[in-house]
Amino acid sequence: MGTRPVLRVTHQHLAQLLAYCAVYRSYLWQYVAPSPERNQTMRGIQALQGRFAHAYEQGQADIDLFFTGEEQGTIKQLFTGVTHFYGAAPSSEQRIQQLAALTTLRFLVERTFRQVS
Amino acid sequence: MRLNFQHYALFHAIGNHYTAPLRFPIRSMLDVGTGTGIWAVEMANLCPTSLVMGVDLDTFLFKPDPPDNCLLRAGNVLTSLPFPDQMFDYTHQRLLVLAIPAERWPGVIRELVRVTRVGGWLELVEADTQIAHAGPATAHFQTIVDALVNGEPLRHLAEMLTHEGVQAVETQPIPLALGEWGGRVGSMLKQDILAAAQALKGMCCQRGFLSAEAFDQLVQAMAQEWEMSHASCTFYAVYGKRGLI
Repeated sequence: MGTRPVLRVTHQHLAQLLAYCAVYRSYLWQYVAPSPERNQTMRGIQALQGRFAHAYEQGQADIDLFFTGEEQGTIKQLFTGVTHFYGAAPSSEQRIQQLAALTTLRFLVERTFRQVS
Repeated sequence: MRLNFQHYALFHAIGNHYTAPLRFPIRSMLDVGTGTGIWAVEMANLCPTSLVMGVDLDTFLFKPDPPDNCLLRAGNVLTSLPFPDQMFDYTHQRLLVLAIPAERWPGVIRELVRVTRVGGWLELVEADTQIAHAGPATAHFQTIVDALVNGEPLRHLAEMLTHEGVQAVETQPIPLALGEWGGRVGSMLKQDILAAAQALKGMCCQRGFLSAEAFDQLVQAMAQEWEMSHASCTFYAVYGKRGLI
């Protein structure tokens, strides 16, 4: 049995992840035509959003999350999608801040995943 | 059966039977305005450890022999649902714009919140009564729909939920192609919406908007327009969690 990575996140990180899930689902609904592939991605993101929401409600400063291989793939897809979405927005201070926050969290998450794989 | 067809069209369009970020297992769910009970039956099959209740004013449409964990019952959200406070972990209602008068929406939302437990999810899915990128036939039909149905409450579902203490409310607009040009889902939705339009025929003729023949011609012209002008309609999924009282 393989080791599953433990991602230690803060309450603030969870708020970010929840927002990214909502943004990415919105993007998929609005800009990607319905297909079995899109719908499978959406269900994966929706399930993750449910996990993040549950963890967020615990209200702890730090929380450990475990992810299956499939969930790790979905999270990578989430980061890629949201990066494209924010990246496509017109240049602004807000866009820079959004991308900076996203990149910082993405780095933390992907580093955790790499440590185990 | 149109309602079952509509269910599958929406499943393919939205990508799931529900849009709220649910976390399973869920003990109990309620579907309000369940129609044939197709949503409740599908959810009961998907979640065999959950109890799924479906209520509707009319019981004659109910699917026979639902799974053991699915109960279909008579109930009217406009008066009072036949359940105690905080009975369900997840309450779902969709496509009741034609069934609920505009002024009754706040009361309906209050009733949905009442039967949902604190910390449970509420979800509403409704279709905008406006069709975008269409043409003159659709615009004509739209004036009739506007006279028969007040779609304004649909733009305030999130506000109404928040007003009743629902938290973390998200509204997701889901624009969908109407017609063959939108592939299989577009084709299914076109068929469904044209069937829904037919359901307004009696009322439309009774109120003297159009003769039966003129109505049929208008619907036919509208269907052609949707293909030529790449029409679309928007569904709204609104969900949130019942907060502490």
